[in-house]
Amino acid sequence: MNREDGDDSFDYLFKVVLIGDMGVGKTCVVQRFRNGTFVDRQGTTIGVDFTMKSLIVDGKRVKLQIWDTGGQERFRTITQSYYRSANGIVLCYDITCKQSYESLERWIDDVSKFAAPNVVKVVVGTKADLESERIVQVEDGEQLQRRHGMLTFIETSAKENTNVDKTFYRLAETLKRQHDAGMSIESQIEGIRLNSGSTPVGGLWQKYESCCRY
Amino acid sequence: MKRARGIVALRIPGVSARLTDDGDDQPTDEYIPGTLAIVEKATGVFIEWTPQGEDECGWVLADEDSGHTIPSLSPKPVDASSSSSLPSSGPLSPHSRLRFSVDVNDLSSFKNVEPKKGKKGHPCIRLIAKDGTNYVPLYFLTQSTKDFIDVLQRYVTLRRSAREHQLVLVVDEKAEALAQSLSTLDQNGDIMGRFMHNPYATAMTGLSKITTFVQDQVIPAILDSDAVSQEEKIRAMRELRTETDDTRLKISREADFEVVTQLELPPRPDIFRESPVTQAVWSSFKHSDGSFDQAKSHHMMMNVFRGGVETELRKEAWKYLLGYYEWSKTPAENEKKRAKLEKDYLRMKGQWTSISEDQESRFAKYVVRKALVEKDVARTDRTLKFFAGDDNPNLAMLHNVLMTYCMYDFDLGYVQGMSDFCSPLLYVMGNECDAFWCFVGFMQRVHANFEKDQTAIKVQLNQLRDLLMIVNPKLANYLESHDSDDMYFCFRWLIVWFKREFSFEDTCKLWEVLWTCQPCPNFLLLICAATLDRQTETIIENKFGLTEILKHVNDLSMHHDLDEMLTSAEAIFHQLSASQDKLPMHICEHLALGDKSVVGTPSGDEDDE
Repeated sequence: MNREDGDDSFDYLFKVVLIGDMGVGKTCVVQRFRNGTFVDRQGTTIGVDFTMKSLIVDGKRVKLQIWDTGGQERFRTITQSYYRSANGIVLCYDITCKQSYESLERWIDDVSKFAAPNVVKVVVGTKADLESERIVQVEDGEQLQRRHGMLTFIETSAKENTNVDKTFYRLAETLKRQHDAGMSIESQIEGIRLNSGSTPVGGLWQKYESCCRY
Repeated sequence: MKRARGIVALRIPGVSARLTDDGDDQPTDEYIPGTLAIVEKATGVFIEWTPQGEDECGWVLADEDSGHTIPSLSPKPVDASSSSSLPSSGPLSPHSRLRFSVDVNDLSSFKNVEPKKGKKGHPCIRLIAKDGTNYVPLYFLTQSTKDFIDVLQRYVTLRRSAREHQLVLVVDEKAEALAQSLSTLDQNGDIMGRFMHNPYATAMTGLSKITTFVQDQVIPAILDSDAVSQEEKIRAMRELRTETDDTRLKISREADFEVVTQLELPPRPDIFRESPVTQAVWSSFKHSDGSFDQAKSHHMMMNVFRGGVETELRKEAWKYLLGYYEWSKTPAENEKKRAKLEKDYLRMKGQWTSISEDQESRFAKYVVRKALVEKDVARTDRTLKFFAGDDNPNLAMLHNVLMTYCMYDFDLGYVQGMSDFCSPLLYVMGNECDAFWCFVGFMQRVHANFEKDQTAIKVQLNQLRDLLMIVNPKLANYLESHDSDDMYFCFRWLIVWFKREFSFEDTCKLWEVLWTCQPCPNFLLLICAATLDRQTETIIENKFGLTEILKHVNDLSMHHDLDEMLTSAEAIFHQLSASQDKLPMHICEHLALGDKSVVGTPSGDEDDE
């Protein structure tokens, strides 16, 4: 393998952020995808944290930096600072909780204020295994997706491992292709500006070297 | 897909992960035996650790074949279109989640801790990734870490940190190359030479036009290079910043800005923790009638501060520390107060338990609040035996206390994090009424953390930054230059008083120390500063940025040493206290230094003189 480039462990890096009301199961979705496990009674998330997951899309190594956020509304000002440079947003609601569905409008407002305009959005209805307690219908989710021009709507169950991986794969694939098509240049630059960490976020690593001066 | 198996370059059995269990009531330090390996694969070279009894060889392969999602950083093929529903993973051992595989190219550094001379113990390695992730500490039980490090060196260049001996850095060849090109620039242009010699004058006279260039390109590079002293770097950063802003420049010249950043604090004294206060010691501070001797109150608070209290004493001591019982009253008087408050509790509890379902249908605000409490109670400290299992009556008690608190303070209601504060109180008190009134006392101190505008948290974060500027300007400046001086990465520490960072037992110990308000009311901030201080070299030498700092700080959870944090925080307090006349006013205010009224007065005591 090529040892000259110190950072050749991936070709793309995308930042994906999960948001939505508290208790909809954001952490469970992340845990399922990241570790393949389901922990019932996952502790509440305070603040923000992220995990990395590597995938291969179209033969390229794509790293997803998946950000899990606390759903408590009043802590948003803190969490926002970490998701403003996101490439993808997963908006979550609980299919058994009307309130969490209705709150999505506010979360979407947040996204439009703090994320790049071309951020890829996905809406996810969680806890799909609780069919008997369903309150939010599939059509409601679809409607929301269409109304806000989101990439896709999908219902998942972290407990039964339904559609969780699919959601992230779909997102990764779209982000990569969008990036390849050069559509995300803007957000890339935004990503560099706002995220001056040593791990630049938002696309092809090598391209950073040429388009930005360090 | 046999390519995934790879060539095993090194395999060391007898490398155990150490789990600091956060769940159990009893603190357990558990070693989990396993195997450490360095494996060359088509996709890269990986450092992998697998717990014993699990298929270590080719487990990535199995993963790839079946499409299972298992804890692995290894890339795997993806076919997004066909993966509609993946089979659920088979049963994993309880330690599976600790298994990891990290690409050597993702490695930023590792801590290599050798046991102290003459002491028992095993050498330990803790890998730190470029994204800030800290992997589980690995203990080499049967051999030294030498083989591992030797083999690793085949793939990456390693350098031991000059500033922190335990830290071994993976050298980034690109950064080295940049440092070299900088020194060339230095020789040719002499700008850098002058800049370094007297950055302020140079910036003011000649550099203003190319400030942008300097800020964007040269400064970050300088910060990364070892060529200049840290103080120069900090000053250079500051000067350039002030140079762009006349007003600030004035302030920085005239006021104590410069003085402050260069303030030399006296050396940190050695501080030792003491053993927990026993029942006998506790009683020795009481009069014969059972009330506390006010003349000895400072002495007693210092005792609690230095060692906490014995587990058996908590049930009594916490009631006083949280202002539920009054120090100056006799047990009989306090018992009388308790009886009155119990009635009060039952009255408020009745206010919500009597709401019928029919009423609920027209009481949306209440229903939302109840749902929040229910959601959080179901997932608060459930790994603790005390709250484990379905239909655990303790869960109902936690629910009742929190719901009743909603009636007690309907304006605040329930906010996430409150259940974290409530759970240890219920655990120690064992009944709703006492837990509730202790909770009320605790909430008086932390109420502002949960208020809607979140000002209080931001104020604390700013205060922490100010403190760090004095205590550790090097780190403070590093954070500032990496967009992290809002200190948001300390949010979780402050909002729930380190509840998520420590085991349950250590949390109890920390809290009772903090409740004493010794040696100053904002001691929590000093603990934060001490904790960050300890991470200085790790953060700077790994060149962590905004996200990596957050990740690193998050991953420290359950790996802190409480006694060390407390002693360092106290040592810092003494440092600051000794220099109080030189400290800027706002720092003294943050810590209430020189404010004699707070010292030695047990708080929450209504009848205090």
